[in-house]
Amino acid sequence: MINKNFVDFSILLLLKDKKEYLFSFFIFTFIVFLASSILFISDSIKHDLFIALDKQHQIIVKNTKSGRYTPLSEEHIDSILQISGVDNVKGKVDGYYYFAQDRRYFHIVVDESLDEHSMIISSEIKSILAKFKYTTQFNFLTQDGITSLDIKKVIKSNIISNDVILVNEDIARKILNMDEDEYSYLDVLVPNNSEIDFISLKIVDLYPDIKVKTKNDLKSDYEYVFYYKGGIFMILYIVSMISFFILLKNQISSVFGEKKREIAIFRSIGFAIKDIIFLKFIQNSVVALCSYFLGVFLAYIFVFIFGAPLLKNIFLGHDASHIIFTPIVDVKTLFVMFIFTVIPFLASILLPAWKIAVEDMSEVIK
Amino acid sequence: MSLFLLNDIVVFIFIEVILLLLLFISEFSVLKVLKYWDFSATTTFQYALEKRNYLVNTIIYFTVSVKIVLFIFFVKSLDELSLLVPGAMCATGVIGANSYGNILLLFKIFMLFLLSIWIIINKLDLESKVFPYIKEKYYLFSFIFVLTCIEFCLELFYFMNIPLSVPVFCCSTVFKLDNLPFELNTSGLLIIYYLLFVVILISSYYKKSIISFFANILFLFTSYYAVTYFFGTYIYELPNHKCPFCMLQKEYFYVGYFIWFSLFLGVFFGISPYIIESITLKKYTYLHKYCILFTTIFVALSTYFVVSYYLKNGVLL
Repeated sequence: MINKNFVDFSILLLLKDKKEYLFSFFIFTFIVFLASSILFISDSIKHDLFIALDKQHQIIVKNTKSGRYTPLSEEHIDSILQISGVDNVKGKVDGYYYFAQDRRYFHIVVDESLDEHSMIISSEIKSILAKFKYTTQFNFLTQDGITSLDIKKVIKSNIISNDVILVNEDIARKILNMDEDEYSYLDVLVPNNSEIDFISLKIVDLYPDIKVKTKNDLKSDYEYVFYYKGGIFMILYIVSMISFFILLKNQISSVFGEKKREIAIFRSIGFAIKDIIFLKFIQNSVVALCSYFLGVFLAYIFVFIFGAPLLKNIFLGHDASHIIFTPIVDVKTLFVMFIFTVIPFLASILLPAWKIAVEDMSEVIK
Repeated sequence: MSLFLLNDIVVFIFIEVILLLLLFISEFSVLKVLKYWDFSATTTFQYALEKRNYLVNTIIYFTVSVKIVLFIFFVKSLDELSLLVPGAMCATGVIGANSYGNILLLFKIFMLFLLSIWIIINKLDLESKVFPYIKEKYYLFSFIFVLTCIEFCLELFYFMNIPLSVPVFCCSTVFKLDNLPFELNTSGLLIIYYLLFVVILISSYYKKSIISFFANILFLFTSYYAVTYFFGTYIYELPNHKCPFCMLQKEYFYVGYFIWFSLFLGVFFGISPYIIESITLKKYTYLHKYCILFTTIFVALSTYFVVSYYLKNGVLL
């Protein structure tokens, strides 16, 4: 009896009784909304990180001394260049400047296109500086006195650029108090991807103190962090979902209980038991799908248009008020959300639907 | 760091637990039916048992549909796990990461076969008014229930034992040697492959269930080796890339899903008539035409890559 008319009829019946379904509809929408917001946030952050990662060279080399990071020198560059398979080694300057008034660190990154008097800052930093009346320029306190730079441009804050100040290389050395031949890390360019692992082993052979990270290492590091946070959230969330589904089962049972008479009439005009079960199944699938789409849609608006207030602190900590999320919706995430929410929803209505369908109709009609 | 914190795995295990719970509820009904079923009785209890039949049906239909979705999800998750498991480039490395992986995958495919066979028998049972196969189908259900429990344990053991620090072997190592069974060479394998295909077509066309049954089982194994060691190389267009899983990835337009699903569907429709006939003791030839359809799709799809490679490049690999 599965045909269009039957589906139409069940939906018509659903619209007639829509009040009874409102409860499950709203709570389920909220559940989908919360879970998909979290997944959207973590996907978006991951996307930004991976985009940034793609622009890096294949191997990043950092120096350590007694377990702490120390600068690298020209000598390191020269000897790594000797390894066959390495095309180019670039020394990079970057580091953190402590802004004592606001008790936070700014990430100083080199941009060669800038001159010696200007800098580019993120919108997050702009608002911090504005608090201390630095609207057009900012004074860095360095060993050799004050270095004053004009704010040339403000870029959007995303996960990478949130605390970034872009400056000229010489200025960066001055602010970070690094010598001419010192580098924070080295970018090693290896044209042949299959040689990356071998070359990174060779670098470690040369300098046992050096820490080498390949692109893939960084990628799985990021994956770990996000899987970890997402996973903890999911496990906690399951607890609340289970209580919701138990609630739902009871609520559906009581709603169905009120409709006993209606179902008895259906049975007496020739509906089979499996038709009644199917009818209830269609109605609840419609409710579940509508809430699912509404929940995902609301989550999209909440995360990508309003910037997910409150929720983003789970991932980013408290100093992230200006971060925007790049709108990324992965089909896989939607699929995971669908399996995670809609399937348990439908599973929890199977028993009540069966119970009402097999009710003894002569008893009810009496 | 444990894999149990991974979103996909958390969701996967959660849904599996729900399914297990549902199956547990129906197993309870099944045991009751098996013990007290008496179709000729007119007691209220017998009527209640007949009603329980509907619950079991509903739950199984639900389980099968969810299991199919979950199976695709499982394979997709394995593919993504390859980013996390060191050394793994595709699902081969992740599946082979411990000794449970391959058993689990075979188990899952086997379970889908069994559940679908159950649905067909159930349909036959409901079509007749006297529930002729109710005992058979419920014994089969109890068997499926036990297997599902084992499958769930295997899943837990499998995910618990995936190493995250020791590199695993991936397809380039696992399938490197031409370790075809019975010391076959590639041309021998292909001859058997196409011969079996013809045998299946003929036996299905003349509806000879038993021949189709054995031919399809042989075909399943032959196809596995043929796709992995021969047709796969044309899909990847690399003579040394031998892997049954890489073709599931985006780089090859997910063609692997079509190839493997058409094979599994074809084999399923090929072997199920015989199994159903041996349970119901009646002729059941309705499914043979689907066997012809899906097996033909599978063979056409796999052959297409070889032919198109030859037409484009003028040589074979």
